[in-house]
Amino acid sequence: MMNKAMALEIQHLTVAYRDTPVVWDLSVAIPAGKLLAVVGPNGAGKTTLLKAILGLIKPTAGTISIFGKPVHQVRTAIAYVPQRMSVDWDFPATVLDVVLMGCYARLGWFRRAGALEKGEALASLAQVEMELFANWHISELSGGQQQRVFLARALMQRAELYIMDEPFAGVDIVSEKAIVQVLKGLRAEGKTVIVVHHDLQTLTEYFDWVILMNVGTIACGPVEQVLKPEFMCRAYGNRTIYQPHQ
Amino acid sequence: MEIALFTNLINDYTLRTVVLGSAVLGITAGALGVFALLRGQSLLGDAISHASLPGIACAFLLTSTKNPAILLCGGAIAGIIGSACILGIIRNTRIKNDAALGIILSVFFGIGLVLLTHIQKNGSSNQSILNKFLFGNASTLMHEDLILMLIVGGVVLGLLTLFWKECSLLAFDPSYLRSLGYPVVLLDALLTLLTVLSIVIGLQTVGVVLMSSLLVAPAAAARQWTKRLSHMVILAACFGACAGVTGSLISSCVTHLPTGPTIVVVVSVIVLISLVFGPRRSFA
Repeated sequence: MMNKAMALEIQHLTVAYRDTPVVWDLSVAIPAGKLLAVVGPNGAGKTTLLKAILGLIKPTAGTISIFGKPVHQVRTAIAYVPQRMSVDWDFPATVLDVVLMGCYARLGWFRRAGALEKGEALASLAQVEMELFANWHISELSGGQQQRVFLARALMQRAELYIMDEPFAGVDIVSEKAIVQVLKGLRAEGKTVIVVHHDLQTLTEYFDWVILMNVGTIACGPVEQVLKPEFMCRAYGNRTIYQPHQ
Repeated sequence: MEIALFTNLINDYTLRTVVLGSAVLGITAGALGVFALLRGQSLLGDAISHASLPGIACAFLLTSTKNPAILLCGGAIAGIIGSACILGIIRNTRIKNDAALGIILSVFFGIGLVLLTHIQKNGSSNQSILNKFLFGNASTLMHEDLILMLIVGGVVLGLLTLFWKECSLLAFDPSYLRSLGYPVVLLDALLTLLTVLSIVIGLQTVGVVLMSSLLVAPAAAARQWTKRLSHMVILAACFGACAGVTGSLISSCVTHLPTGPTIVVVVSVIVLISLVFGPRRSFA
């Protein structure tokens, strides 16, 4: 029962590329239903952590359990939103084509998306306020719109845990607000959302829980407990990057 | 002249074989080429086709056969070994993609040329049939060759249709496909195998040196006209078939004109027209 309440439990995770450790002895426990930011300086291993959670790279040591189970047993409960720039946006596909990819796991081998799935895809697009763009080619979109299409694709999966890699990087303010609204909606439905985030100023406004990391864990907990000068200094060095609001 | 060619096409058995064969290989290579192009693996096709030469030569040395099925089987095996070597080099060393392709292409092709020269020096009576694998000769296509091409081409296109959804997501966003739980390594191997097969069935007609152009050029041309993957594959298959048929016909009508280079000239014209007039053209 206790495991059920924990969306994600990581114990002593170490991930190394060749001989260089990128994540070192990281341990965190995240309760379900949180909107969580993964924060840390460049090269802190944030993306690597996400990929390890998703089972895209093999950890050198340590264990990861999602809703109390190993990743491969709960894949259908996880939706991944990769970095926007990780794909070629000149690929010959329309917005609807990309969103439909979100039901590929449910469809399984050989089956194609039909009218039912198309209806769902349009509903997902409406959630991110992109329904008017369904037949646009993906290269015609702005960065923020591309990110919202990726989010709509993840929504198609009807997952319990959403994992997003820098959804706000290079995104306009309209898209950022639209995305945040969807994420808060997911939290209201009891879903867990994990987001790699860069902007420390918006942390308190958008998120309620934070993993602060720099190769290892520095702090993990509710935002106000983690955003303390002593933790921030340990993560970012002695530069004044974050000033708490008065 | 045109009327003569047209009646020839209907009545002449050899010419009909040539046209059908070139159409099949153009369709298959065009369709698979779209995936090679979109996955940034255009040069992999070139490396695979060059790498198949030592396989063809080895198959000849071992069996002394003229049977193209066996020779092409050798070519396919060498092509698969070549692409496995490239992947192995990229994964396990610090050598980058382009260098790995360059190394394997030239090493395998070099070995192939050495073996070919050795076979020619020894003056076996069957040696001349190997020459067509360099630059291609459509007019030597037999009925059995056509049957083989139809079967292999049919299997390749059938598998591509069956795995359409998985292959298209593999080309667009492989890490997302993996996060959905699909075996990306297996699908990657499948798509590479289909590419090898589509190359191998063209080797007799187009030759190892220029086969990759029939893989990449129709896809590049199709990309200038459409924004849907399905349309792009169909269009590339049509362009491939058109180039294959036109090129083979021209080279069959003119003596001593190798088929491969002729097809490449035709396909280059298609690319040029697409670049200039296609609605999604690269030239502004």
